[in-house]
Amino acid sequence: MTMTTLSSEGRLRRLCGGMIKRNRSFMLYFGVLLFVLYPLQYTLHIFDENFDKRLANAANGFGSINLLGGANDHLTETTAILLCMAVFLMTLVIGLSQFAYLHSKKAVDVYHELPVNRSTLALSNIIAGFVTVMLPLAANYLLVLVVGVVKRATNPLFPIIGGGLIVDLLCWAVVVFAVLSIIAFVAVQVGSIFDNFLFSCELLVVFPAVIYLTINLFQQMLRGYSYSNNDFRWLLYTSPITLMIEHYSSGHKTMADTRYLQCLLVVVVWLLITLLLLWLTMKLYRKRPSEIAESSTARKPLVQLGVLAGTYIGGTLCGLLFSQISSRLDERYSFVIWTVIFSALIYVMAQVILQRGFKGIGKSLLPGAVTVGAIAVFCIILATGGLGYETRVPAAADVKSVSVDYRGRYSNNTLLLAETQSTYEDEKMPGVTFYNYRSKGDVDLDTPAGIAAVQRLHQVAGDRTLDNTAGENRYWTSSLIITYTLQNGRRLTRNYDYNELGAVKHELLALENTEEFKKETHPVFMMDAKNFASFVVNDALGFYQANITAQADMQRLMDALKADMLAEDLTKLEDVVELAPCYITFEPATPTNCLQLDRDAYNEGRVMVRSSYTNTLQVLRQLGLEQFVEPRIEEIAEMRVYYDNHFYRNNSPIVMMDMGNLKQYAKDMHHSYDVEEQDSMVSLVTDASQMARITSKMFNLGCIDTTPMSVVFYDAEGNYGGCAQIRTEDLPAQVLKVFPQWVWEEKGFDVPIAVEATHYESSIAVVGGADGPTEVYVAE
Amino acid sequence: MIHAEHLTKAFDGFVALDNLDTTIAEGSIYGLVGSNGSGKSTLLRLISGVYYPNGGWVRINDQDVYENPALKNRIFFLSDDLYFLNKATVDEMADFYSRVYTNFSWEKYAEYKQLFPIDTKKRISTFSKGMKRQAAIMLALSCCPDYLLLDEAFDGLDPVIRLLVKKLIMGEIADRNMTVVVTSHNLRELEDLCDHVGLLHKGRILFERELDDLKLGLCKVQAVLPREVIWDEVGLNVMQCKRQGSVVNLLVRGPAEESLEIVREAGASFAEAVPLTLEEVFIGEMEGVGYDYDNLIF
Repeated sequence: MTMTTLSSEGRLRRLCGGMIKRNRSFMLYFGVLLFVLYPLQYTLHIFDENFDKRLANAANGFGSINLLGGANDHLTETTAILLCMAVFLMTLVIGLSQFAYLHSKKAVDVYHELPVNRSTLALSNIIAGFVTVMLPLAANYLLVLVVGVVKRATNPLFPIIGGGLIVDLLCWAVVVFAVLSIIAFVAVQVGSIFDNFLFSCELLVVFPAVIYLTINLFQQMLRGYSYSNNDFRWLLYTSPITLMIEHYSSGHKTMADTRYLQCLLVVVVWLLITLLLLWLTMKLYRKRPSEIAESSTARKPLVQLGVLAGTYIGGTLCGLLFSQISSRLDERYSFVIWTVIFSALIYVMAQVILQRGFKGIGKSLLPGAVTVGAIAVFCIILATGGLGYETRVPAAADVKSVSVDYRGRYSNNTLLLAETQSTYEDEKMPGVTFYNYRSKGDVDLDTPAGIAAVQRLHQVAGDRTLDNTAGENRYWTSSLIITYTLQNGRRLTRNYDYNELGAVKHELLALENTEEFKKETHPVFMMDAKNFASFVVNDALGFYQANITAQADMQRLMDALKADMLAEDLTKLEDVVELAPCYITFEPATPTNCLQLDRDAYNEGRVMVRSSYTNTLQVLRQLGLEQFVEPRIEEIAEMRVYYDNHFYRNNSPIVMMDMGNLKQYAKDMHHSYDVEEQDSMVSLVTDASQMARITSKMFNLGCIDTTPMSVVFYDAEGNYGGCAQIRTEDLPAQVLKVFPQWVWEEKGFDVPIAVEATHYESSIAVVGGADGPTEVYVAE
Repeated sequence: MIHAEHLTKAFDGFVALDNLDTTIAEGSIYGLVGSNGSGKSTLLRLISGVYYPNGGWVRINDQDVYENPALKNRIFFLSDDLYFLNKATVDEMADFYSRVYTNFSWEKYAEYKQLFPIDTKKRISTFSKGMKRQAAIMLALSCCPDYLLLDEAFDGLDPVIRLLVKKLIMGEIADRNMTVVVTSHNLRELEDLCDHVGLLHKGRILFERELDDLKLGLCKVQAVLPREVIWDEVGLNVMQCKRQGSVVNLLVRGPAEESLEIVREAGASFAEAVPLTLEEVFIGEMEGVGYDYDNLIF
């Protein structure tokens, strides 16, 4: 008879060995799956004929070396996602399978009579599951390393990836260990494999899911709620199954990246959490009654967490969905009602699933009422403004400074940030260093006037009774972020969609009108003439252009502009348009990619010179540039009105024509449309009275919410000049009638088509349309 | 020695074992009989350390079994509902047990492979019920346990294999002083195998004693008695009395000779003592506590 003496470690080792041996087929299958998803894809990718070219370009400074994703570029993006999914799925399957014995009466008899204590048994199963998943994974990583080394041998530019792979594998080890430990933790507390699956998934996804949903609810329901997309990565830290996604995306550039290191720190935290969980699992397992196998028993905290999370997630999601469908009520209150209804239904459904039927459901009614009640209270808080969240504006005394990601009408004048400087080399110019900069997207204000203007803007923007439909024809698509830095060092941020801000035109103008804002957003207040090579002056009609190169003249102009811009009252521009006589372009002295900055600076700029800029116009006169002081309307021999428009659209209520491209726009329109064509998109205007009407109404700057049309000017010789804009309602009826009705409808023109004449004291024109003549009432 | 005191086990309010006390001597074959749901399997699971008691304790050689790998290494519990690893063969199961039972004997296993008519390289899932049982018994005996707990172990075995198993168990007891606790509803089987019997009812041991004592303590008397007799008055402890005309069949608690004497003195023209089967003892005792056929049906 052969007899051996086994210590606890010996039994653990032998038990694990047996389990791993039985998992051989699974390992083989998993290994092949991983091979297809990872080393094969990687090999195909790096041996692609274009890959070497891109690698060479990256090495020469054209584009980045990030040809692949992941730490040290060893994964294609598709592979990263599929690899994560495959490993999580397989770990889940193997974990559930390893602990399935706990959920079978027959199996538990065999396992629990074995001469092994329960801790050893649980640990054996975790280790066996761990090896079953990690061995094929490590083998495939090794294969990738071998392929990488081969590639390196054929192309020395190919990066070394060994370190990244080892770090990846270590992270995977922690993640797989954590997932298996969570499954074990649940397995010892429940009676069936279904419950193990259900509650394991609960613990793996509940935290990211609840946080994600809550953030989205805040964004949808709380006006001004601010949560940076970048911060969503914190969600990925809350579960081991999302951790690797963040790990792969964070290590995109270099392993020394802060985000990458932060993710590694979270991996270490997860390792500690897992060890704690494992200790708790052992404690629970030692006390676990074997007889709960095959029952629907589960420990209360697990059930309560699951039911609460399920009710919350399901209830609020259905609430959001149904609040969109039914529009009889205010959307927010509709959301509350539907959420309460669906929370109750989902709660009951969860109980029926957990209790395998309606029996005993009565006992769950009271906790159910409390759960649904808590969700209802939460939703009501959201629907009513988040306990003052929406209306909270910090007192001026508490504010140290405020930042607004809004640079007003001159946001196209780019302020380069010196601290963001990066360099690169061009293979065509070896030895020359080029520079890149990011531009400033916000304005920092710390004067009482500036802060007060932002506070007023914040106050109105936060008002949920604001008329959101005002100004809805504007092309506002971005957001407005206000960040206060308080005296106590804390920050308060609000984020508004421009969709919500139709009615804050007045407040935005008031903000732009503050001296501090003006000084922060235009080169004339920050730069000197010596920073620029020349100033190019263009008249409004596009007939004249002048170049000013003398530093003294340029500086005089800048000084005059400063005075005029500070003196102008932008609030008076509300709902007003005007034709500024000229605009000036500041030409760079050095190309931006050769500019080595030691402070934030503008390298170019533009300014629209309004009729009210008396100082500037005076300097122009003194420089002999009389033709720019006033638009020379009399030189227009004919004009054409196009349905197109060329307004520069930024987030400011003050819209201006794109000064850098007026001539080009005129050229494009001139060549694109034929005035002779029926149903044309262009109307030729030669009649003096009609031209007089158009010139009196046309503009290149102003506050309008409607979409204008373009006017191109021609001189006596038939040469096109520049272009301006005109509101459709300001066009003479005879001009307007050329445009077919579908143009108006498609382009959303505000011309009233076939509406009641009683609204207007108008002349009547009959114009052609797709379905024959249509009566059109045009306001005079 | 297996010793249980005040042993209590309840499942969701149902008390399966209620303050049970018992002692099973080393080297004995203890037959555990009892009605359905009386707690036989529960007792075996408590002895093997699968269950943890709600009250009292069960010890083997003064050591708790639960979470005691060293002690459990000497115990093998063969459940009535057999479990084998998924898609495993008998050889693979042997490998599984050999990894944790230090006394596992491959020599014995090889010997049993010759004795039992099953293919140890075939998947157990393809086996018949009896073949699975044979495989389980082979594996159990190969682990060389000092305490073998058999729950309905002979269920599904053909008579030849039953005899083989009994012989093997007897051999192990003779060789290694193995203690066997066996439950079965086939009392005839236990009668041949056991030296001790315990009767379990509603979670309590009604009685336990050596099988010979048990049989000696009860007797069945057949007599011809023309008249009715009140047996209590004549000093006979009758557990069961059935009369057909003048022929009376009595199940009596007490020695056969003494009982025959009393019956004859009561006027029997003919009286003889008939040997009792364990089944008759079981039925008689169970009737004594109200668990009889009449009570169940009517």
